[in-house]
Formats: sequence, structure tokens, C-alpha cells
Amino acid sequence: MTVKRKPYILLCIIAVLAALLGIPRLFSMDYYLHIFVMSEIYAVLALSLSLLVGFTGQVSMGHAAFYGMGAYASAILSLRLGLSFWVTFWMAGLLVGTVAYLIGRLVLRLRGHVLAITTAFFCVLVTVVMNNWIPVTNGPMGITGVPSPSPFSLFGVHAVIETRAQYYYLGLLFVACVVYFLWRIESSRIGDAMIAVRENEELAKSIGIDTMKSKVLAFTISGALAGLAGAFYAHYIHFISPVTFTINESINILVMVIFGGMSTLFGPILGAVCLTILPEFLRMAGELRLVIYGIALIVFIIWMPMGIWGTIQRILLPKGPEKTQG
Amino acid sequence: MSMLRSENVSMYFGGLKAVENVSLEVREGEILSLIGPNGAGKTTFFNLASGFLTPTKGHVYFSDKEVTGLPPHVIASMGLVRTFQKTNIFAEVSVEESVRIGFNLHRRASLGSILTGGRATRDEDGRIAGVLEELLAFTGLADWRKALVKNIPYGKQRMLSIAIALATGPKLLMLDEPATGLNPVETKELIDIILRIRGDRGITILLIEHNMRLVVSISDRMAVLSYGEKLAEGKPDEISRNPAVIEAYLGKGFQNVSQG
Ligand SMILES: Nc1ncnc2c1ncn2[C@@H]1O[C@H](COP(=O)(O)OP(=O)(O)OP(=O)(O)O)[C@@H](O)[C@H]1O
Ligand SMILES: [Mg+2]
Repeated sequence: MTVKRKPYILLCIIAVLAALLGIPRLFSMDYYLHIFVMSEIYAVLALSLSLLVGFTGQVSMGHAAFYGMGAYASAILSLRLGLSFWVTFWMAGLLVGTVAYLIGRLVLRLRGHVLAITTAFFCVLVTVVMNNWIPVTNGPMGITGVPSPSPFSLFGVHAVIETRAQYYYLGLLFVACVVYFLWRIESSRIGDAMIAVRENEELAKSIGIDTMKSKVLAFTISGALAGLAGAFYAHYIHFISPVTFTINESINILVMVIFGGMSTLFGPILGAVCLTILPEFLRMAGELRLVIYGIALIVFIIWMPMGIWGTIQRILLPKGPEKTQG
Repeated sequence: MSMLRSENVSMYFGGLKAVENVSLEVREGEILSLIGPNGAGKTTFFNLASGFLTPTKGHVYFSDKEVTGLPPHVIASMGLVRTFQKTNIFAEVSVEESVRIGFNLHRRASLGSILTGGRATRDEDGRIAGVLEELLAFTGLADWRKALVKNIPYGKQRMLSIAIALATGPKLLMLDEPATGLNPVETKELIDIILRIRGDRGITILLIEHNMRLVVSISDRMAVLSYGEKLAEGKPDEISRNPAVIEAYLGKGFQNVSQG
């Protein structure tokens, strides 16, 4: 079976790659490209959250807080210190990763819905700080004029990131790196320990796995990646304000993860893309938009408890997915 | 040499004395069985030794190092690994993946090597694949490797618990009623495997078991708990002749087994 499937998989990969690279030519309107760039940002957010929720089994409703902190950190650093995006992007990831580590150590003793509620509370708290720490965050007015990435030369090619299409390609690279990173982590001993934590903490401890360490690591990586996504967002939209990073956004990202399929790499991407594009389609429905969106979600989640990707896998592989990795 | 030694350990749950002043030694290389009526404190003693509970009083030593109150994963990493009385599994993963998780303790590839898929990671993966194969064959799980753990028969799940514990490479394996719910054929296989774990792999075994035929046939020594206290300790035939033990727990049935 593997022999027959190999060329078919390779063909699929090439087709998908060509389609992805061709998107800016096919959809040259700014409006469409914007949706695709946002899909990329949400793909990173959903992927990073899936490491924590799908892989390690710890529900967080605080993801938007890390996303927002990354956006603010990068925006403030670049505006106040005049640093380039190429520097502040990484600084934002490092900073948010550190915060996630500290918060993780604090809250990951909790489990299940108590953990969900506590992280939700943390998200609200961060929004309150964004709104009220006016000297630094400029409060509800937000921060305007966040600069584009500075021009750079790579292998003799001079490049700028200014147009939507250019952001799209940078975003594509970003998603690809995150997928690679998570794939390596999830298929390693680190990922094994995380699966053990998700499946059975007691058994995991009994065979020498430091479950707290695994949870904190998942929380830290997940937060740091969300911080990077936030930095990318800030320098793409050029304007950030607290309303973008509320608990609603946390829930939105969580729904993408559940909708797409939690414990695979492809699922969250699919969830992110579908749930970024779907609401745009529904604009035509006007007032009814949210109702239709809600019903669509409920139907999907009832019919496909493993998410879209989980269901596709089940159909393609007769015996169902045997492993948890996608 | 002593593998595990408890000194006057007690565990009180409120007013309930689940374990009271138990001093017990497990010697290197032996199979020691811990028996006693329901609620005698056997599982609680396992929890105390493996770090899942911290004793109210007393001390626990493993390989002559004090482990009292250390977290379970630290004690496990020192080489003391226990299984659970209730079936405890990684339900949604494959049998193979479950056992691979058991090797986690011995995988050290650095983050850099993991991210680049470097030599160290590949060597480690290869080495683990080999040992994994051997362990699946040893525990009779090779045919089930691809199946999800929740879908395999109960007896295989019990065996998988042992396979996962063995994957950690323990010095002392503590089995909590491994024969519960097994049919006679599976019980015989279990006896065989326990003997080989000790014989071929040199792993010391502490066993809780209600199945007297099993206990008597494989134990070097036995210890009896009753109402949290240690009643007796000795060779199987000594235990079966001990009047206090017969009085408290064993009754006539045991004598028949051990003498017949
Ligand atoms: N976490 C706990 N909290 C309160 N009481 C407990 C706890 N764990 C065990 N006990 C009590 O301690 C006593 C000893 O229980 P334990 O499980 O150690 O017995 P056991 O010898 O393993 O019995 P069995 O043969 O039925 O497994 C019982 O009365 C039990 O109810
Ligand atoms: Mg018990």
C-alpha cells in the first residue's frame, strides 16, 4: 500500500505547492490577498495552539493574549527603539515565550475547565493592561504607523516587503517553518512525552516522564509562536489595538483547531483557512452571517468530531489513523 | 544487597491507618510477593515506594538512596517502576507508540539534533526501534503493534502495561495484581514472562497478587500485610505454616495449594 501511495502523495505535494505559490497571480485583488495573508497568520496561531491542546491535551483560552503581546512587543520595540522588524520579530517571540513560560509554571498545575477558565482570565487581564497602560500601549486608541519590514539583501537579491503579495510569500515561509518545527518536535521524544501527558498523566509519571516539564514546554513553545504571529500581524496591518486580542479571538483560534482536527499538523491549517475564508463568503448573507456561521460550526463538530482532517484521514485509510501524528 | 527498603513507613488517610509501621526489604534479584486481604494497604505501599504518595511517617530507600517524598518521575528514572492495579493505558495511541513512549527516559537527543533530524536523533531512533521490536516479541504483542490500545483485548492491555514498564529499563519492577481478569492460559503466560523478566533480564520483582497458585509458584519470599501492618515475612512454605497468617487471611485453601 505504501508503495502505491508514494508517487500519489508526491504529486499532491507538488500540486499544493504550485497552487500556494500561484495564489497571488490567480487572486491579484488586494481583498483576496488580504484574506490569504490572514489565513497564514491564523494557520500559525492554530498550529501553535494545537501543540498545547491537541498534542499535550491542555486547553487554553489565553492564546490571543500571547498573540497580542507579540504584536505590541514588536510594534513598541520598532517604534520606540527604531529597530527593524527582522530584529523585533525575534525579540517578540523570545519575550512572549518567557512570559508564557512563567504563566505556564503558574497555571499548569490546574486541569480541564479550571485551566481553561484561568487562562481565559489571563487573556482578559492582558486586554485590560493593553487598554490602561496608556504611556506604553496608547490605550484603546492603539498604536499606528507600525513600519513594514526594512528592505534587505539576500544572496545578492534586494527585496522589500510592502505589497500584499510580498507579505503573502513571507507568510508562506513563516507557516512552512512553523510546520517543520512542530513536525520535528512532535515526532521526537519531546512529542512522545507530550502525547503521554495528554493520554494519561499518572501512567506518564510512573515511567519517568516529568509531566509538568512537558506541559510547560508545550505552553512556552505555543506562546512563543503566537508571539511571532502577533509580530507578523502588527507589521502587516501597521495598526494594532486591544480589540483585536480579546477572549473572542482566543475562542476563534480554539475553534479553528477543533474544527480542523486537533492532533495533526494539517488539521489546524485547514481549520484556520476554512474559518478565515468562510466568514468572508458569508458577508453576502448580511445579518444572518453569524447565525449561519454558528450553525455550520455545530453541524461540522457533531458530524466530524475528529475535525475535517481527521475525517478525511479516516476515509482515505480504511483502518483509520493508527498513529496520532498526521 | 537491598533493592528497596522501607523503615517504619506509615500512611494515614485522616483517621484511617492504611499502612502502619511497615519495614520491608526487597533484595536484589528476588521475586518478593506482597499479599494480604482487600484493603490491607498493599497498593498504598506501592504508592509510597513509587512516590505517588508521601508517607505520613518513616523512610523509603531505593538502592540505599533515600527516596521518601521524591516525585514519581524522579523515582522512576532511578529505576523503580510500578504498574497499576486498575488498567492504566495510553488509550488513543498504537501499541507500538505506547511502548516507544516507555523508552522516553533513555532518549537524550538534543533539541538541535531533533530540529535538524541530525545523526544523534537518527541513531537513537534506530536503536530504539530495535529494542522495541525485541520487547514486543518478548511480551507477545508483536501482532498487535499497529492497533490502537483501546481496541486490543483486556489481557493484552495488561501485558502492554508490563511492556511499557520494561521499556524504561527498571532495576525493580513492582507489579500490582497483574493476573487480575486474566484467563488460565494468559495467567500461565504471565507467570512465564515474570520468571523471564527476573531470569533473563535480572530485574528484581515485587509482586502484589491474590492468585495464590501464581504467588506460591514463583515467589522466592513473601510478605503479608493485614490492616496496614506487616504480619509475616518469609519463604512461601514458612508463610503457609505461619498460624497468624492462616488466622488472618489464608485459611485452609492456601495450605492445600502450597502442599499439593
Ligand atoms: N487515596 C486514598 N484516600 C483515602 N483512603 C485511601 C486512599 N487510598 C487507599 N485508601 C484506603 O486505604 C486502605 C488500603 O487500601 P489499598 O488500596 O492500599 O488496599 P489493597 O491492599 O491494595 O487492597 P486490594 O487488595 O483491594 O487492592 C483502604 O481502606 C482504602 O480504602
Ligand atoms: Mg490494591
